[in-house]
Amino acid sequence: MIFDTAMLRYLLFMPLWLLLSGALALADDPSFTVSAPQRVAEGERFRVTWTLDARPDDFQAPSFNGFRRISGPSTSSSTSTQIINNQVTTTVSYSYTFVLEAAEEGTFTIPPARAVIDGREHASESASVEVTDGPATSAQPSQPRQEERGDTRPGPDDIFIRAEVSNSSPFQGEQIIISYKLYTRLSVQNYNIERLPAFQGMWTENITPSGQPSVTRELIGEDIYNVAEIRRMAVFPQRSGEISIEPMEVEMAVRIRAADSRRPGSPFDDFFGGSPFSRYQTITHRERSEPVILQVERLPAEGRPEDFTGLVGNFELRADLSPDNIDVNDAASLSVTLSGEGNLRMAELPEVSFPRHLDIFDPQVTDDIRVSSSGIKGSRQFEYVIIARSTGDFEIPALNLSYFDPGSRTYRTQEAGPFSLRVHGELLTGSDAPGRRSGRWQTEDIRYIHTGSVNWQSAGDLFYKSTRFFLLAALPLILLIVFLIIWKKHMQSNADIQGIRIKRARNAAIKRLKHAERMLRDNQREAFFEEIFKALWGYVSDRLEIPVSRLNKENVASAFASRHIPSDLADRFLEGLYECEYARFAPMGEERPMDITYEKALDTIVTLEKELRKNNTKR
Amino acid sequence: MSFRIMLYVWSLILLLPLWSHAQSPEDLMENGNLAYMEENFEEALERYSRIVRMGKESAPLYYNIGNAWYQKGSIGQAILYYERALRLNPSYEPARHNLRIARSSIISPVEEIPALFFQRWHDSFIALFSADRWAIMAIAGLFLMALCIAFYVISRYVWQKKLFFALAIIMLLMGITALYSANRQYHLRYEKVEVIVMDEMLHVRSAPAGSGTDLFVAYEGTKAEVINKIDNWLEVRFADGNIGWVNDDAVETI
Repeated sequence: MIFDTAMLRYLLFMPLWLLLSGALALADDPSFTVSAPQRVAEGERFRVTWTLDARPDDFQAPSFNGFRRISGPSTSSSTSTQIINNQVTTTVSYSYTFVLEAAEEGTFTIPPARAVIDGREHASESASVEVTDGPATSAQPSQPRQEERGDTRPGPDDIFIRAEVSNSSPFQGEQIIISYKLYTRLSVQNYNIERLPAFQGMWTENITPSGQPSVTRELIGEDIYNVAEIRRMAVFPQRSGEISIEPMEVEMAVRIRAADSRRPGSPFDDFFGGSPFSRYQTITHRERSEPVILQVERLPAEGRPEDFTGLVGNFELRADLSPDNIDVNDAASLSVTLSGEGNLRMAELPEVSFPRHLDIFDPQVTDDIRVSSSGIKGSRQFEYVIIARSTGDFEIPALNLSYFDPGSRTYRTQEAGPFSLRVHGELLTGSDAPGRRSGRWQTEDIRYIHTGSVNWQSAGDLFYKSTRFFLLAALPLILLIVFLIIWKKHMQSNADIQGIRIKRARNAAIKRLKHAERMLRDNQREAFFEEIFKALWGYVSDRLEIPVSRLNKENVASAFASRHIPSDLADRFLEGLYECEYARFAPMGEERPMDITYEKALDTIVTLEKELRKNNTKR
Repeated sequence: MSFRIMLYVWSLILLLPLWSHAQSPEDLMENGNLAYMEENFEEALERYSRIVRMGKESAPLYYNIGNAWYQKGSIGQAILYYERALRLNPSYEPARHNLRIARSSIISPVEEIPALFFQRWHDSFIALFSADRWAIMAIAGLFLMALCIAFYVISRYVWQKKLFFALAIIMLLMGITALYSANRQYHLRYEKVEVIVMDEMLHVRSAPAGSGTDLFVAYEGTKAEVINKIDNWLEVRFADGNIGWVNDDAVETI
C-alpha cells in the first residue's frame, strides 16, 4: 500500500472538515450532505460521512452494496457560534461516519441516507465511488516509483505542482482563477510555500479556503494521485498583452521508505502506516510549478461608454430612495447597491447629481464581498443621507453604471432611477431648526444677491476729510458770522430811524401845541381844538408807529397796553381826544375853557413821552 | 482707396473687443447677476471682478461677490467680501446676516472676547452709518445750529430766545456726536488694517521668519487685525487676543 499514512491522516482529518463545512453552511432548509472519496483502490478502507446541520430525530443509513462495512455508524456533534455584524448565528452539526472497505473493482453508488428532522423526512444525495484495481496489482507504471527505483529522492512523477487557469486569455480586468494543486503519490507530511508567484500587472486576491486543504483523488494515466489544492487565487489582469506569472516554489517534508529497508510487508502493515520494523525517513523536497502565461485581451474601444470606469464582470445596479415623501429638515436615504461578480473592490460610486437645496452627506460604503472558491462576488452599497432644506418637489436624476461583460464581449449599462422626492412642511429657521451635524451644513442659507440699483462710488473716494467736507463744515459758521454782521448793521440803522421818528413826533407835537397856543390867544375856538386833536393824534401815530389809516381808539388802546403804559394815562389821552372832538362839533354856547384843555393835552403828551422813554430803556 | 477702407475695417475689428469691454458697471452688475441666477458662479465672479478692476465699488457689489464665493465653497473669500461690503456700509443687513452664516462654517472659529454692554452699544451705534453719512449728518447739525443761533438773534420775545438757544445747543451736540462717529468709522475703515486668513490651515509663528516657532493654528476665514509689518510678514492680533506673525501670502486685506 502506498497511500497508507497520508490517506490515514486525511481520513482522520475528514470529520473535522465536514464539521467545519457544516458549521459554515447557512441554510433555512437543513443541509444533509454526504462525503465519500471519488476513487479508491480495491481493498482500501475509507470513510463515508453524512453531515446534518440540525439534530435528526432518526437517521437511516442506506445499504452499502459492493462495500464491506467495517465499522459505524459513529456519531459526533458540534456547535459553533458566529457573530457577524452583531448577528449571532449558532450552527449545530451532526455527523454519522461509516468505515467501508472496497470489496471489488467497478463503480458503485452509495444510495441516499434518510433522516427525520423536525418531523420531516430528508434525503441526502447519493455518492458514487469508483473502485480501481489495487495499486499493488496495477500494470506497469509509466515511471518507476521511488521505492522501485531504489533511490532516496522522489521522481518527477511522484510529486508535482500544477497551476490551473480558468481562462488563459481573459480581458483586461476580468476575473480569472488560478489554482495551484499538489499531486503526490508519496506521503507528504507538511508543506510550506517558499515563494509565491509575483503577480505583476495584476490585482490578486487569495481565495484559498482556510485550514487544511481538502484532498481529492485523481487518476492520471494508471496511477491514483492524492491531489491537494494548496493555493487558489482570484486574479484581475490590469494590463493587456502577454503576462507571465512566475512559478511557485513549495518546500515539503516527504516521508519515504529508506532504500535499503525494502522488504515485502503485508498490505495491512502498509495501510496502517507500515510495520514498525520498516525504516522510513523524512526528507525535505522542493518543487516548483510551471510558469503560467496569460494572453490578456484589451477591452474594445468601440462602444465604450463615457462613464466606464473599468468594471469587468457581471453587475447589477439597484437604487432605492426611502422615504420619498418627507418633511423639511427631515432625512431620507438613497441607497445605491452594486452587486455581481468581478472586480467589485475597484467599483466606484456612480455619479449622482443631486438638486441644490438638498444637503447630502458623504455616502457610507458597506461592502458585502464574499470570497469563495469560485471567485469574488458580492455587493457594495453606498448610502446617502439626504436632508431637505426647503420645500418642493425634487428630482434626482437616474444613475448609470457601465461595465464590460466578458461573456458577451460587450459593454453594458445599468440604470436606476430617476427618483422624485417631495418635501413639504414649514421651513424652520434659527434655534428651532435641528442643529448642524457637521461644520459644512447649515440650517440657514445665505440671503440672495442684491439685484436692484446700486450707488457706485470710486474706490478710495471719500467725502469725510475731503476738501468738500471741510468747506461744507466751515460754511454754516461763515454764514452765521455774515448774518450777525448784517443783522447788527440793520439794528443800528433801525435804531436811527426810530430816533428820528421820536424826535419828529416830539417836534410835531410841540409845533402843533405852539400853534394851538396862538389860536388860544386869538380865541379861534374851532381851529384851536383841531390843532390839539391833531397834535395828540399825530404824536401817538408817530411815536407808537401806528399808520394814520389804522388810527382809531381801539388800536391806540391796545398799543398803549402792549407798551405797559398805565391805564389812567391811556384814559387821560382818550379823554383829551374825546374832549377835542366834542368841543369841535358841539353846539355853540356850551363853551369849554380852552386854556384847561391846552394844559391837559400838554401834560398828557409830556407824561406819555416820559413813560415811553422809561419803557424803552427797560426793553 | 480700397486700402483705406480695409484699414478702417481692420481697425474696427481690432477695436471691437475693447469697446465691448468698456461696459458700464451697471451692465456688468446685471450680467453678473444673470450668471449668478443661472448658478454659473465662475462667470458671475468674472463679471463682478471686472467692475472692481474698473475702480468702482459699492456694498451690494461686494456682497454679491461674497455670495458667489460662498456658493463656490470658498468660505475665506466669501467672508473677505462680506467684510468689505460692511466696511463700505456698516449697516448693510444682508451682508451682516451672510457673514454670520459664513462664519459659522469656519473650522474651530476664534472665540471673540465679549465686549462690555456699553462698548457693544457704542460700537453698534457707530456702525449705524458709514463715515460719509456721519460726516453729512455732522454738517447738517452745524447748519441747523447756525440757523438756531440766527433765530435766537432775530427773535424779540424771551421765550423764543430761550427755545432757539436750547435748540442750538442740541444741534451742536448732535454735530459733535456725528463728527466723532465719522472719525471712528474712518479709523475702522481706512486706518485699521484687518486681514482674513485665506489658507485652509495657517500656522501662526512667533517671529517674522519661516523659522519661527509655530504658536497656534488659524483656519480659513478667521479675521485678524494687523498691528505691525516687517517686509512681507504681518504681526496680527486675533479676536481672542492671540498675537503672532503670518506671511502676507496667506491672508487677504479687507
